[in-house]
Amino acid sequence: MTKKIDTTRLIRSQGPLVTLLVMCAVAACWFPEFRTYDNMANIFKQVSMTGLISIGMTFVILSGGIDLSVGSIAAVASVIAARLSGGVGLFAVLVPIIAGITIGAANGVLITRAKIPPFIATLSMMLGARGLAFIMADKGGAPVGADKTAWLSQISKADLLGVPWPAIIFVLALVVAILVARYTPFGRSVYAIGGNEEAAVMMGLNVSRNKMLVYMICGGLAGVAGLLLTSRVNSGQPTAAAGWELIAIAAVVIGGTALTGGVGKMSHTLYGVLILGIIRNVINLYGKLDYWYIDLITGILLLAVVLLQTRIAGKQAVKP
Amino acid sequence: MTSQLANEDYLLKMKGISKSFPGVKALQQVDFCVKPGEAHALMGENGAGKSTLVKVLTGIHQRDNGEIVFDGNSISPANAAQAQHAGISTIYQELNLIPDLSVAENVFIGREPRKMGFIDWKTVETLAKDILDKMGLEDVDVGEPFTRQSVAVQQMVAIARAVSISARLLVMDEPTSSLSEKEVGILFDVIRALKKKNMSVIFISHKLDEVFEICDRATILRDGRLVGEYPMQDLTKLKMISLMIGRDAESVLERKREAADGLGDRQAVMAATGLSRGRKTREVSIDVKTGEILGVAGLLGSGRTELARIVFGDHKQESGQIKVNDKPVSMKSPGDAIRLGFGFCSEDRKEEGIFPNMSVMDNMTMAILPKLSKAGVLSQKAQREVAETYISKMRIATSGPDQLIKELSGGNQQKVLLARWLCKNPVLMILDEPTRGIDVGGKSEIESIITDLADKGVAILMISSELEELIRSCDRIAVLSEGKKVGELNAKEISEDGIMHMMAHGHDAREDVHDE
Amino acid sequence: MTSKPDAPAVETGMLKPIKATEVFRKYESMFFFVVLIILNAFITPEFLEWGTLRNTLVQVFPVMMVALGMTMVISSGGIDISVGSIMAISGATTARLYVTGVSSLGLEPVGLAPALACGVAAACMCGFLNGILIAKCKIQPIIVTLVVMIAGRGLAQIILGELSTSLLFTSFADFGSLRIGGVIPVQMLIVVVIVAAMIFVVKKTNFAKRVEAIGDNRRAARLVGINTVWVTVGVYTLCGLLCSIAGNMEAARISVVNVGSLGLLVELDAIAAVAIGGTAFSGGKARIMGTVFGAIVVQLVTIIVNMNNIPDKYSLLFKAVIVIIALWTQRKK
Repeated sequence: MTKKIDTTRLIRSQGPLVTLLVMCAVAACWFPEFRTYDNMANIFKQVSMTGLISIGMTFVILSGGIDLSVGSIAAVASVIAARLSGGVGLFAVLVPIIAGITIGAANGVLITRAKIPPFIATLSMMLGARGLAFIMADKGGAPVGADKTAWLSQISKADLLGVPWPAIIFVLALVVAILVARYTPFGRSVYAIGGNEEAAVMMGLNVSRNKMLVYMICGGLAGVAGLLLTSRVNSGQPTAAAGWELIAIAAVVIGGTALTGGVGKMSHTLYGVLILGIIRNVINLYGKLDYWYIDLITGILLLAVVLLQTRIAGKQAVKP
Repeated sequence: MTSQLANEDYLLKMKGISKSFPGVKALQQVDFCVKPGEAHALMGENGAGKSTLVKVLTGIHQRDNGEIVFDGNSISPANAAQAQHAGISTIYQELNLIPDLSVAENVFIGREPRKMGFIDWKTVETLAKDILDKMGLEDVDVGEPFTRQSVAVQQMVAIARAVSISARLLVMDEPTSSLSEKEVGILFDVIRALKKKNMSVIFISHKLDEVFEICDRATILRDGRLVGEYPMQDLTKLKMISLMIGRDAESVLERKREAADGLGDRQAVMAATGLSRGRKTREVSIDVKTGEILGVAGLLGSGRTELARIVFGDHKQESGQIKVNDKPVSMKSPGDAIRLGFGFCSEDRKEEGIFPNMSVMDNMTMAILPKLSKAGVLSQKAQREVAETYISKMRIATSGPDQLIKELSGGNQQKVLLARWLCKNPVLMILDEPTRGIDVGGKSEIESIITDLADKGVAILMISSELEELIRSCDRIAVLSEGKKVGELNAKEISEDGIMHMMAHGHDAREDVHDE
Repeated sequence: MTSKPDAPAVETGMLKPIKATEVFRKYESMFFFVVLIILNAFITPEFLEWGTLRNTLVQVFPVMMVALGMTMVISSGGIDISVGSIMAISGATTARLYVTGVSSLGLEPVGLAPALACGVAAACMCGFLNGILIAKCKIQPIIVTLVVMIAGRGLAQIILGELSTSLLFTSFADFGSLRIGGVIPVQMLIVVVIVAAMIFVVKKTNFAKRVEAIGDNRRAARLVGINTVWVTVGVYTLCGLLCSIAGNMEAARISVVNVGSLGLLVELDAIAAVAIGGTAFSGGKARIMGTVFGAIVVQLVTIIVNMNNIPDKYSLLFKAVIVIIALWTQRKK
């Protein structure tokens, strides 16, 4: 059997990387500041939170689902972290993450047991969890507690050999996620479920349990993101992290993962995350555009990539 | 009879299985036994309960009553995984593997060999290659995505998966429906090899020839009850059919065919020349005349459905021309075809025909809403009148126009869908497998509706995979193979042999293409 | 998806047993409505006074309008979570044209009627765009409307331009507090007319039949000649239209257009209203009166929260739970 060069596959596999490199080149020519190490470190630091969520979102989308509640989960975690920051340090780190996992598990239960479609279950959770964040924040927002937990705010400010900690956490999580997706039965099950859920059931895979896990991982990573957010802004704001679901979905899709599930690469989500990060960075460097434009550009980019994907899928369908 | 035999003689013993669904007794006290190393046919018409029985066995449904003894142990699989674990594997009609994963992964997913907790991809691929080699599929690249393989290879991969989990019993539900003759041959070789290894196969197929070729014994079901269990040598095709349908197979009406020359000078309602689209439709020319039933024969995948879709405007042709009453037309959507007076019944009633949660009345009048309304406001009275007329005219068994269509039987649903177009007085009806999944009584009723229509002057293009049905009803039959029209038979020439010969000719042509 | 057995379909002509759960499903919104009215009558002080009732109604109208649009969208098998942002865009357009005009284009402030017309047109455009992206470009509704939901508020801000986020517009607000015959709020009239119109549309028109058909089986709808693209576009445009009415009504009520808060989180209320109203989320028959009562039920929950000294922030949580329960009973069917 001869292996032909498959253009659609090539676009899917190399498109995001090429786009990323072109953007870097353009940005580097346009803004001299872009080229500095500090700026690079800054980009990584900025994308680390939405990047963590994008990792979880990649699992969710690969499994054929969607999670709109990630931003609200991050807000809940952020508020919890801030409120607990006055006490034992370990709790201030663990409890927000556990809260994220718990909300993710609730998503999973609604989707696998109550059989509510993922977008509507997580939409309810997106709004419900936001309410929860408000309830827990007391009056407006919770500031990070007394000086004995100054280390909490240090997480996002300190670095290791010049590499900011949030970036290290993000990259570590990504490496683990790549290994999980490629080399563990769970990871492969996620692909199988997204590719053909009915078949996955027939093959004896535990679809419900794996889906539960997917949403729990996504919730947990959103929790970590919320923790980093608190560390960064020194307070837990219930209104924070709004719209992160869009950024995460966009990053995953721009990275080439199909919204229909089953197709995509965890490692490529990094490209999507960085592409969006550089757009944000460039808008900041340019300095004349409102932050509204970031949402606008992210949204348009997402729609454009999905459009491209449906076109490709359509072409494949015509010529089997 | 069977109960007197000792348990050890059987690999599988299902005894007194009953299963009900709301409003339906799908299985009543059914016994079913399979010996080690045999291929056992499970036969019955649609709705006889075959699939339900298999689903009870494989853990997808839970039985209400009865006992399942497998390999000496009583089992009650609660899901597919448990059945698989016990040693029962199923290969379904619609292939149930994961399209985007590699061949090797499809064989091993769920139980991949691991090294230090991580999946060992090298071993996965070597083992998969090994298994496929043994089945005579040396040239399959196991690293390639599953979707890139031919249907036959996909089927083999499914079997390879079953073999590799050391299944004792393999359930095959219509495994040959999308295979060419040659591929069926390969599949049967594999089944024979499995039998030698003392593996048992439950074989479900509508194709009697195949059943007689490969199976040792047959169990026949009818209306959810056991008819009997027979060694193959005690059965003939005719006997099997009469056992399945519960009456003589002879009672089918034969349409009086118009003399071939009588049709010759009628005008073609629709004439298409050189239609092409992708690989599925290549340079097909076809025409249908007033009052004529043109049959389209061909195997699944021969491009017959695709042809119908192009003629109905659902797919756009890449080249070629369609003329209606001698005037060239361009159709961008089914809506355009409908405005030209075409009607279409899809082969997939559930997915493409009915609006399940809407009433019989709404289903019937969906294509003539503008006719029943003024300025976009619909007259329910007019709607009801149309529905009542056709319910009585076509003898549709329903409690009334307001009943939901999903509550009707398959045959009655199909009648509603036919009525949907009849009330529009079509000039051309395109019918894709109009009798699929309909019981024998319903079938002959639908066939007679179709012939009546033709007698009233409607041109009909009918696709069917049942040759007998085509031979019974059609005035002319066009034969397709691999997207090409390989021949046409007029009224005088129509015969089973003739059609088969042409299909076979198509096969030869296909091999040539492969070798290119 | 649990597949049906290959057994013969249910015997025709069989009498369907009427079950309590079925009755409950059919009148679910009424049930909630009555329970909440009674509950409120007991626990909410002054609930049964005309002033309170009137305020309740005036507050519920915008949600009701949006929910009616959402009902049609859901009936067609889709979803629209951009409704709140479309409200904001519509309100912003009206406010900009009415109060400041567009100086860069040399446009002076215009009268209320043309400003409103433009606000309505802008919302319809958004709905139209949603529809095109969903039906023509075949992108999932949730993705398209999520983008519009998040990017839309930015757009509204851009439209409002150099204006501060809040602005007062008096003569419009005067209209908003108009009482017909001194008692009946003018909004009531608008809402009654629109609800009546929607009931007519759903019960009597080909359009609604086609929407229902698309929601029930999109492939089959195309094959009976329904122009699925334009019907879908029509549905989302209609939803946009109703959002614009909601947006301007709300702006008139509170005398302010604030793009950050106008219509914020209304999608939850609207989806909750539709879910309680009994329209199936998998598509199918639109239940207008169900949605009307559903919207009131949602508002009653808000009132219980507001008037009984329960912090407002709990209402989000309550409503999320209501949506989930309503959907869960739907799936149980």
